[in-house]
Amino acid sequence: MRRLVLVLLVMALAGLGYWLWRQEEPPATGRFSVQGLLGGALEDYARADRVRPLRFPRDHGAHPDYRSEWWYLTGNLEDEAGRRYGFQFTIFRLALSPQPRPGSSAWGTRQAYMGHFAVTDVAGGGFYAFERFSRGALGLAGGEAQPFRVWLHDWQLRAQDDGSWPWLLQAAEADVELRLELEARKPLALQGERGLSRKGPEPGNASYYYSFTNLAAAGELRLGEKWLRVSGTAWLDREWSTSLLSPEVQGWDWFALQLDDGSEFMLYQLRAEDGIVEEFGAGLYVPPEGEPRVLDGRQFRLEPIAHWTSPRTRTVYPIVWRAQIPDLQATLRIEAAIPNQELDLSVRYWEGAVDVHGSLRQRTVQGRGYLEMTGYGGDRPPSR
Amino acid sequence: MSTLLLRAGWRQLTRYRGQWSLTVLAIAIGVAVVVAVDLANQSALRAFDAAERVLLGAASHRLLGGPEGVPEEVYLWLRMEQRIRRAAPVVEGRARLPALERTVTLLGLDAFAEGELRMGALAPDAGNLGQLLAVPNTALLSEDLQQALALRPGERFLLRAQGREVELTFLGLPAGTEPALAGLVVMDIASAQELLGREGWLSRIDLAVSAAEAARLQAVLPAGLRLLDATAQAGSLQELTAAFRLNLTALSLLALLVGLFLIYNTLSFAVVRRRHMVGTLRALGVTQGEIMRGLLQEAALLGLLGALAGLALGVPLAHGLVRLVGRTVATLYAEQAVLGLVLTPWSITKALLLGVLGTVLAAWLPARESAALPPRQLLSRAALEAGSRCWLLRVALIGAALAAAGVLLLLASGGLAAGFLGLFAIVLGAALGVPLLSAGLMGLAVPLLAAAAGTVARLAGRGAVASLSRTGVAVTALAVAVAAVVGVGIMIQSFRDSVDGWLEHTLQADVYVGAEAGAVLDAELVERIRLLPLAADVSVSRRLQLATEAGPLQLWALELGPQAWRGFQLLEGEPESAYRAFRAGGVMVSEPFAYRHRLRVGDGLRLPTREGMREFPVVAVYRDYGSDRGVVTLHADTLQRWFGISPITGIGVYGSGETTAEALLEAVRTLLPEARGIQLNSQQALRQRSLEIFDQTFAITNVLRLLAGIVAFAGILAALAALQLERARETAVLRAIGLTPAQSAALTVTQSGLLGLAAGICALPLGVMLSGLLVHVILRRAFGWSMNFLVSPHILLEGVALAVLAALLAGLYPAWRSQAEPPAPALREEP
Repeated sequence: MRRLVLVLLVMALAGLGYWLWRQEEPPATGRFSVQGLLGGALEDYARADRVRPLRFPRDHGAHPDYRSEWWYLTGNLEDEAGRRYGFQFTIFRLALSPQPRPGSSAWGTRQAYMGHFAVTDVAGGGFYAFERFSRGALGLAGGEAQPFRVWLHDWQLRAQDDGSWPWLLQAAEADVELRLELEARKPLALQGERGLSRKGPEPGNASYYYSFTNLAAAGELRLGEKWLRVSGTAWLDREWSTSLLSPEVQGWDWFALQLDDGSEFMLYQLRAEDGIVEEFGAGLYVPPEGEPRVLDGRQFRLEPIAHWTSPRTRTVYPIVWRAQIPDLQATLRIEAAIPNQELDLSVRYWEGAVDVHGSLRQRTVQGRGYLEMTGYGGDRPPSR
Repeated sequence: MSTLLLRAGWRQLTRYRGQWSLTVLAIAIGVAVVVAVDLANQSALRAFDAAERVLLGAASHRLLGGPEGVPEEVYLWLRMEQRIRRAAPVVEGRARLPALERTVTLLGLDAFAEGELRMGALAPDAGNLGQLLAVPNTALLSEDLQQALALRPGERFLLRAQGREVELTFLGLPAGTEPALAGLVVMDIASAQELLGREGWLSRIDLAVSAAEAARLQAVLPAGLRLLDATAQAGSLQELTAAFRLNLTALSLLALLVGLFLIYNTLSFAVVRRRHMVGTLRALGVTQGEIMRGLLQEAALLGLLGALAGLALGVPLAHGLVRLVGRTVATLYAEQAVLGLVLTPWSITKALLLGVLGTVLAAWLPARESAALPPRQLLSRAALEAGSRCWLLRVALIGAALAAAGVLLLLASGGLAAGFLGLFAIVLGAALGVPLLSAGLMGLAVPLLAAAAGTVARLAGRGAVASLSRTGVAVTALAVAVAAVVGVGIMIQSFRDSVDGWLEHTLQADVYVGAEAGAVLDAELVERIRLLPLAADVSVSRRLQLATEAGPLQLWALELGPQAWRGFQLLEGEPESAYRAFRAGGVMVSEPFAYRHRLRVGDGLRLPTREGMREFPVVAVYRDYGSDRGVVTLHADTLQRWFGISPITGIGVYGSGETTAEALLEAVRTLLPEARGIQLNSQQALRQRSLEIFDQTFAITNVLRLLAGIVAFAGILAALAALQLERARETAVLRAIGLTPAQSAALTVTQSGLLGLAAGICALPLGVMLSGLLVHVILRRAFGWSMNFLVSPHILLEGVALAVLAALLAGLYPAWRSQAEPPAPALREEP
């Protein structure tokens, strides 16, 4: 009978071999690329090609004829025990076609919305990031001016019903929930040339850009089961455009810093393969009192000092920076509150809370802020 | 094992090469049939499974509404108020591709919600998303449609929906990697709503929620909506086709059973032929165990060879079967699954095991018998013949016991599997009586033959009777195979006859107007037909699917006059009172529905209405072969009151007085709108079409019937060839004492023919019994249908003719050999 056993064994092995051979590749992930959303002829969209007077509250709402737009809220918070948290809440709008979609269905739209929501638990070393998509139809997502409200499902940032302050932020996902009331400590500041921010040599490569650089934030944060009372300072960036960047731009580094002397800095630089595109970096200095001052990309220097490698994506990000702004006699050291604030979502980037130390006009300053770094690995993001 | 035995075995194999090849062939064909059916079934299952997996994705629940569907604001409410994170709206409808004359499923989806639920399997590639969303009438197509229409991205094609033909732009295939779905047009939800005229409505919302979330949602659900467990909804296609697949499996096992008989038969021959050698070996001191092992190993080797050959034959056969299964499934059930042949390691292993183990099992008895006999007896021949005479009786008794057990099983359990098991026991039991019966038959026939045709005939008759000890099993195998051919034939014919009778009774209107998918029949058309002078009456029907906890349920709503009412053959319920109760809000259920749900007149049937669950009285059970899942029929007023209105799907027109169907048909035709997609049929044509569909459905069954016949033929060929080779010496003696070569050939052929005739005659009661069981037990249990039992003589005659023909053909080669070979060498040959 031994031979019979052998025969059966051979058969079993043959079966096994066949089975292994049949094993298929694992299926691709279902996540769709944001890159693919964009496209179509740019010429047919509205362009940010000249200075236009911005009017409010009209321009708080969406600008559907421009290809992309965002409401970008970041901030640093503390709970009653002094534990520190960072948060980011962004709603992106992307037009998929220059022409409005005709038709009778309430689902019909050419607008896609993407939302990112992240919370950094600095003391606990935790970082939570979430993403959502929706069509801008049926009331599922949108951006309205009067009263101001931008939302994606139940994530929303809105003014009071009569359009007044405080504005309200509501975002919840999984174990993380944030509810904040926002009050502007300073009036909104127009970036670039009266709100037109040029990002490249071509006339249309620009955006309309304004910011609330200092918003008082207070409310509640839930991590898991636990509700915490939190308060701090937030920053809102508003930007819309049709084409931002020249093709050679690989990524950018963007800083929003709020210092304890009551001033704020916005600084960003664009990186190309062969170095920094200085002439299209830009900045803004908002003094404690008085008019904000626009900075040219050639008026400051940003240098990475230390790097961190994401264990998850193997991407290397600079997480300690030095900023030098000679005209303001400013030297600032900017350091991530915790290294891991990488958002590995449809778009991969690093956005997180930072600490600032340094000197400004011979005075020692410190502060907090948010840093965004894109293009260090993976796809080139569509925005910012 | 000793080399002596090995060599002895090898000598046998090489010496009777042709013989062994036939054995291997018989095993191969048996295995091939089983493998092919198994593969076809597995492939169908996998395809359903894959299609369902893609369509269901991660959904745990489905939110459903009434016939119109779910109001779209509910989706907003889920997202905004209920904060449900993983939910996807679906607008689903049927449409028609005029270029292919094919009905397709139109799915309207929200690509943004798809990623959360179906991992984007049905979403567009990123590059197409913008266009799909922002440009109306853009679509993705499943691969089969794209290929059939030969479309490149950007090209246009026509789709008919809502009675309009619309030009759509093809963008690409869905992004999902698995081409599991067929017959699918995917659009953005907005485009789909507009195309199907369903603005404001969703067909359903798929949700992935935890049990706790589902319970919370259930509690706050707006009236008229139902949250159903998606996994309960899934598997409906599997369940739907389970009976169909079980039937195929049973038929393939029947083929294998025939194959095993043949294997047993061939191996018995091999053993018998070697009795002398075995006797010598035993006398030399080889033990029983060694002999037994040697014989079984030989059988295993043959089995393996046969199984491998069977695999090689079975796979191409399976390709054909998969196509047939696919066509049947598409006709009967659904069109969304892509059927491709899937070779699973398990089905291959199964086939190999089946071949090897089956052969070893079949060889077990003869091997044991020969190994167990004392050497002296082995060397004598008379003992064998004498032994097997009383063996016939013993086997028949065992058969009777087996059949009785089968009957008991049928009585004890009402399940389908028990039905099949009982059927097999009864058929097998009855088959074991075949050798005895054929011995008796031929005993009767011999004197008659001798009187009619003289010495050679007498010789042939007696020879056939004497050979039964060795040919008995082959005759049985042939009888079983022919019985299968006859039985399944009778079953199909009974079924067809019942369906035809039902159609004749049911189709009362002279002209039928039907809407294909994508076409609409409106109330205005009904009114215009009603006003035709030629039309005496009009009935209006609406078919729709109602989603329930237990899967989709078919509703059929009717507005009908007295003549249409007469079309219902009530199996339960009294027509007049039933009609009154039906008008008053009662429902009728079709026979399969009543069978599946154990409903009788007077029972209540709970259905989800737009005002919640409500019980409807069952007022009648009617005959219906149109759906094996069953149909619930209700009056149009009842539908409107409890479920809301749904589109008209059919209109029946009754001619007045002397009106001919042709005249009526022409009159109705002039009223039809320009748009195509509306079918106009006379009663005659509709009946014809229905029967065509019936025949198509049974095409696969007929193929299997044919395969069983082929297996039997190969087996009888092997058995008779062996018999005649075995009898070479006897023939040589006859030749030596004066039989001419022609007489010798005639003797051989006559003997074969007699055996075939005996098998054919035995097959008739067996076949009728088999068909009776199939019709009254299997079809009833599988589908809930009762039907007429029709035994037509020509099927019986065909069966006998098949058996005789197979036997005669099988006798030709041995006959040729017996007359062509000079008798001397055979005479000299050592016995």
